[in-house]
Amino acid sequence: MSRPRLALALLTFGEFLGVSAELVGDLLEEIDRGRPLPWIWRQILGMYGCGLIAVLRERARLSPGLVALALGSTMLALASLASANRVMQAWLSLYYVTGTVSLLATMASQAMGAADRRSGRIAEMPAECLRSYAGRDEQAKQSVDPRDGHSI
Amino acid sequence: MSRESLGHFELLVLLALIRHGDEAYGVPIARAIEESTGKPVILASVYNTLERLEEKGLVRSEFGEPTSQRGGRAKRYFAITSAGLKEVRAAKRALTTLWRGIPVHES
Repeated sequence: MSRPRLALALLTFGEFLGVSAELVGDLLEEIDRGRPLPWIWRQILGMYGCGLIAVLRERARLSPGLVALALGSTMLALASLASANRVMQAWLSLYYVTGTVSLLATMASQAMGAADRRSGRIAEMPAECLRSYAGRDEQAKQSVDPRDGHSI
Repeated sequence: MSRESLGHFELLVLLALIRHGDEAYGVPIARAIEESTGKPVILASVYNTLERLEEKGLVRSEFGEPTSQRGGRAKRYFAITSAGLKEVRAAKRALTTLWRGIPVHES
């Protein structure tokens, strides 16, 4: 059976985009064994789908822009269902509640920081951290193979 | 060891891995699951699952020699760790306990 050229090109392109070489190798092996075309196309679609999901999982983080967009969309959705006054009331309530919670959390963390400084716990930390980092640097220097310069 | 319990597909992958021993890489694992479930398996999802299991410490992997049949790409062999075996045994125990007492209707 001749190898489907487009499928092979897409496999190579997938590898270029970051799909693991061992997965591409496995698919090539199976194509060589004579798997039918529908199987091959299903695998290629699956490969791109799984790759896309992995990229989205890695990059999807809560950013201020994303939060603003989500809030804006919710406000618009609410505005289409209720009156402007009700939406403003809901928005102000949310604003005051989150603001109060944030203020209390900041005050609590500041109070805990002050207590730690009084008891001397924070003052001791930098020296410990420095010692631990110095130890790590020494380990890192020792683990470098002089032949290739790579960390082993 | 992870606190999460094993998913259905994760358990299938681990069992296929145990069956194939030292020769377990993507293709035989996917074939074993296909044969046991009768459903087609996407190789990429097998690799995703194996990588997730490796992150949890239930599986370890190493690369073999590259071959011309695979366009110079090496095989990645997987093996179950002792933590993985423990998880599989725990899953078996849980399933057996749940199955016990359920009437079986042979069709």
